[in-house]
Amino acid sequence: MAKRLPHVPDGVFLQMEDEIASMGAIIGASLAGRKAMSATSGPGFSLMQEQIGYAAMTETPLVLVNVMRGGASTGLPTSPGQGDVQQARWGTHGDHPIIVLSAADVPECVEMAATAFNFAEKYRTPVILLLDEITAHTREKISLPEPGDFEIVSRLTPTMPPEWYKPFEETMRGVPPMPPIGSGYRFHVTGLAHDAQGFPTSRPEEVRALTERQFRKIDRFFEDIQLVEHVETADAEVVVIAYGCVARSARLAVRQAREAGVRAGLLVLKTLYPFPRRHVEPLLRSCRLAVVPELNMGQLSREVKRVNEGYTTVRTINRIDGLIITPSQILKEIA
Amino acid sequence: MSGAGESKGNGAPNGNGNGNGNGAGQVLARYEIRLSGLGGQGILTMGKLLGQALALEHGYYVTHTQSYGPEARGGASRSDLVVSSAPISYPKTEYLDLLVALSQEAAASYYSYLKPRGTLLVDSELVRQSPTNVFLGLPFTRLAREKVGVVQATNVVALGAVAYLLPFARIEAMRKSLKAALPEKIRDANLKALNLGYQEAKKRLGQPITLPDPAGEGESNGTRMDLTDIMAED
Repeated sequence: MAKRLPHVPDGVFLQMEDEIASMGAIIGASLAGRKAMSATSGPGFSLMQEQIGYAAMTETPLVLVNVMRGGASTGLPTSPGQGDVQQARWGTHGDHPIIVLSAADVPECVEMAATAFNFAEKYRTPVILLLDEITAHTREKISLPEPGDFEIVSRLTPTMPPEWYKPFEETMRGVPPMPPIGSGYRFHVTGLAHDAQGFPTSRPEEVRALTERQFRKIDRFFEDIQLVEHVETADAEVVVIAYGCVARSARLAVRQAREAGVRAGLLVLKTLYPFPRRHVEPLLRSCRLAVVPELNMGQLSREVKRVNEGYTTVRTINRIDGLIITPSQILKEIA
Repeated sequence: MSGAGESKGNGAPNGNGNGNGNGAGQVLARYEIRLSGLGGQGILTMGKLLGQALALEHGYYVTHTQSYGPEARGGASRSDLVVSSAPISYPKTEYLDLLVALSQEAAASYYSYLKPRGTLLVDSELVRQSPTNVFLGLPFTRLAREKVGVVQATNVVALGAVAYLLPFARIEAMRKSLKAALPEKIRDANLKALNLGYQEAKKRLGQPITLPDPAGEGESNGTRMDLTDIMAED
């Protein structure tokens, strides 16, 4: 990005001194009307957490890529992991809505990066794109999309005269229009709970209205946000639920299981949060076994188990030694 | 296992040892390559060059993944490539068709991942004790130092040998990939290294690899060497 962004019209690449400053910079850029992102890994993601909350509270669209690696702390800096799933959802303090996406291969990285920006702009929210070391370091062939291949969404800007504008007003979708700072609209931003004008308040009815609107703007559009890929799940007796690089292992394992005569299917989760219950639950009801392989001690499997109200057996495959879960490891569980 | 996993679209005549020139465009089931050695030997660059040639010049699906320690030099380093005519699901390797080892440690640790009829190619001076008697060796590091004059070109000498051994790769494609990827300053030395590796391999390593016939009975896909019951073989 350092090499390419300066060649894009209006493109800016900015190297900041640390992760805290980087988050501040992209929040500022976004408030000024630009589409902004940053990328990090390991401890850097923890450093960014405080301001993810600030972005959620101020409803600032931005995209944050976190390439997950092994271990807590500096851990395994060159090995894959998926240990930040719960942190991506709940890492910042306070109750807040957020969108967490993932990608399994290089073409999907292109697709999900564009999707992440679209969601951020459409819902005025920070979006976390979780990758892992394998997905991030794999080189493979892709066809670059042409302009127009993707739908590009940009945030709503106010159309009313500036004196009528209320920056955090209730709207139909729950997403208020957002002017770039400096465009003539009075736009006050604060991390404190605020009223429709954007100024601090602690009046219970205003605080409740703010928080409820922030949740509702995401909750009402689950169908739009929850992206998954079904692979041979229609007649499946056994389903693997996977995301990130592990979904690639699962894809091969499921095909091998089919060749061995087992009716296996795969649900690839591209959206991790809001958790795609509407896709997971029917499979838990129809399959006799669900397997959740992931490179942690069981973070997304918690969600699957939460949704599974005694419908089926949920088995997990957990690997935390810095290596990927192999197709044969999954095959052993399903065939 | 791997052969069974990816699409079995084969039936094309295999290499039959008749050389690289007409190997291009061959239909390929999953073919797994591991390049391994020490950090600083250019293992990752070698993987990138090979992958680019196979993906962009030959048009195969290729995934190139890597594994290395936090150290800049001296740690174990490896590059894994999967080559296939069909889209690739699992991007890492499980059962190797070709293992290139440029260090003793790499040869010892990875040979057990070779398929029964997989090919082991080593630097014959750095790997003093081959873990198996069935292997191919060339002194890549010495060739680079003495014949090219640049020891850093060791990886490209090895790449030349790999280009000869792989029945579906063409040396011209490697040359093109090399030219596109490397800065002009070091291009000539590297082209020389590539040709040297190719010629040495042609002279001393016999015929290129014969691809297993995926339809054939003989290939026991998915049997790892360390798990194979020796009595059961033939």
